[in-house]
Amino acid sequence: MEPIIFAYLGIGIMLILSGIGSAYGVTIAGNAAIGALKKEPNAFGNFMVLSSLAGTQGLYGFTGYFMLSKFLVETITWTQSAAIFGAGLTLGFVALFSALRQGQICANGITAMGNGHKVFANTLILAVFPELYAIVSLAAVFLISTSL
Amino acid sequence: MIVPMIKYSFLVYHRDFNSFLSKLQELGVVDISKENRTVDEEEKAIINQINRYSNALRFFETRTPSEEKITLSMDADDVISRLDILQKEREQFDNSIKKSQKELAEVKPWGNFDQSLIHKLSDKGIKIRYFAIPEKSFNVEWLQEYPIEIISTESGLVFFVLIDSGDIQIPADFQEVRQPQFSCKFKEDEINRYLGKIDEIEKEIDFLASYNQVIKKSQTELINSLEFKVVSSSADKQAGESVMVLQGWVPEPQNQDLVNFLEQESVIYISEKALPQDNAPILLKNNRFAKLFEPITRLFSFPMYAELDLTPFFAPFYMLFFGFCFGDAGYGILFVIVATIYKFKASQTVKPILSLVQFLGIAAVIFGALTGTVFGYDLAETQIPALVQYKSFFLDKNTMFYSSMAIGFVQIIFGMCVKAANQWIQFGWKYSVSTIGWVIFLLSSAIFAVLGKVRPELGLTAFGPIHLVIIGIAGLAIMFYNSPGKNPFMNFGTGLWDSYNMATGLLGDILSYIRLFALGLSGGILGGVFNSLAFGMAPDLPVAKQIVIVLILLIGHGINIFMSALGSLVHPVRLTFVEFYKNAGFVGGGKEYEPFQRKQ
Repeated sequence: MEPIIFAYLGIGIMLILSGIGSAYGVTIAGNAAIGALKKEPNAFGNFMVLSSLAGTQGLYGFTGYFMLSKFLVETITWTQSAAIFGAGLTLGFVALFSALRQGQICANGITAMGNGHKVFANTLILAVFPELYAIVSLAAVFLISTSL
Repeated sequence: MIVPMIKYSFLVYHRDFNSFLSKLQELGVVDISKENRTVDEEEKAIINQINRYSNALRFFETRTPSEEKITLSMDADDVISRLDILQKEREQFDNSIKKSQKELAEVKPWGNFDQSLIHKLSDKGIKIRYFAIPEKSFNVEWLQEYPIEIISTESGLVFFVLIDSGDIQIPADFQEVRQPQFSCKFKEDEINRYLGKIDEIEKEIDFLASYNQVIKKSQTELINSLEFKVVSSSADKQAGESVMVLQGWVPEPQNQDLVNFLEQESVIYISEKALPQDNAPILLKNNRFAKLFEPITRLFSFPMYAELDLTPFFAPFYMLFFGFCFGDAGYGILFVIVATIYKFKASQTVKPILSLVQFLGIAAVIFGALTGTVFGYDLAETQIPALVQYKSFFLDKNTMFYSSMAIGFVQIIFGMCVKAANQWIQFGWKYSVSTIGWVIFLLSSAIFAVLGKVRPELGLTAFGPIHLVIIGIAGLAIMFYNSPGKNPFMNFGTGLWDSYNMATGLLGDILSYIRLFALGLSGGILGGVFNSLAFGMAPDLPVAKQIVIVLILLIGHGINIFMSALGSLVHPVRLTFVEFYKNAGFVGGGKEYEPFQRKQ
């Protein structure tokens, strides 16, 4: 296997998993928002804010690709491709699960708001916690890219 | 800024109470305290009625009112009741149509026939039997062997009838089906009748939609009367129920109007300035710029009366963050131009939103200019001779990455300064010492770290002698003066806990601002991708090429503008509510100022 293939596998994992995570995360929250709108049609603004929170992990994957793209040349070394593969695995998996769980937290918050409980602020704060790990992974990807 | 409130207690003789309340409602400046009361059955009924009116009004917004003049005098209740009946009938007809369509699907293969003829034949001993078998299983020789006639072939099935005079043996392959109870035409006519009825219902609903002003007026009257009832029942009955004591709040600027009114009515009252610990209602007053961002404050929570209104503090940052995330000068110019054009014909309620769009557009133009992004085109990569000389002015991606975290750090430090100011105002200067210590610690560390890298000749490095002295003083404040009045061990323990929270919280908070960079980058790259698609995929034909390019650019940049704008609006909101509010020590929970007034 050529090192460039290994590197692109890592990039692929990063983009695929982070994108899937965000797609699922915003869908889970969006589905809850549609249900909650039946009871609280005026709270769409709050629901939209919460629904879109899980969308950032896909962007982090994209950003991670961008940070590593300058190394994706034919003359890439095995060290570089191993680093890129590792970075891809890290950000891909962490972003996937972070987005899924963040979407679930937001969905629960939206459902509670639909039932009349005033939990927008609390949900916003609790949704931060899973995302922190995706951000840390992105920071790790950045540090890997600067060390190559 | 929160407008100072004056707290009032009115003492009114019970016989004059209702007239006093009516006049107070006309004056419309007093927010009546409605604490410690329960909603009674009468109020619930009024609220239900108001909700019915709201639902009807919302429904009528989707209709085109008929152009017939209203000749029939109906009040709001009649309109709503009639609407309910029509909606129920409509639902019944919809269900009937669904049922008829199902039945039609069953009998459609048999086409049109006269049921009465079938019955006549049956009376004569000739029975018509009905069969449906798969096309593959149908043997055309049966047409010669048996008295059968094919009626139709559809969906892979052959539908045929057998004329049975009583003595025919049919093969096992023949699968008999139920005799159709009605012909195709009968069902189609039935469905058309139902559709006709639905048409009539729709026309009548459109006619009812022209009564929406009547309903609005009735709803407003109901709301006013509910408000009156709620306020009336909020009063305390004293002195054997002959004196009604009512409490309320009035903003300081409107205080004189109320005093004049009370003097005129010879009402006994007690007034005092609202104290910080009072649960006074919140009326925000900000300059023209910060006022545009008050809807964002409303999205979260009003501040408590005792604390600072954070709207003017987060407003410039929000604008900055939007610009960072949206970061395209072309899109920004578009926003400014469109908002400016619409402002000329916009209503008063929409104008503030358009002003906000203009400011956000300006921020996007600034950041787009800094990064060299115009409609997805990266000027930093340009080969255009006239622009090549400017390439070095544009900030690269690495700089933007660190800048996003630097802006976050600045907002966090600013938030902590606001927290210190809040603590000073609310509790006294001693309580802000620890927070000021943290600000000095973090700010000095950042400054010395930067100076050490950028100007090493100055000898001012992080954790150098001067820095150590500064953080030593700050450390004393953090560890030993965080809880004034408590013993030093308690302070030290609290200081350790604060340090742990700061170490874990600060890192996460700063890293959170990377999303600004991520959003800005992805928006810019997507714009560039659409540009590449437009110019790369266009065919090499003279006019078609230009049309395809323009179409792809319009659709692509349209999608990108929508998605980027959404992200650029939402994520700065999240950063404001979580990172900034947390570091500013925002408590919130204040109640909005809602004066007791007659709604028009």
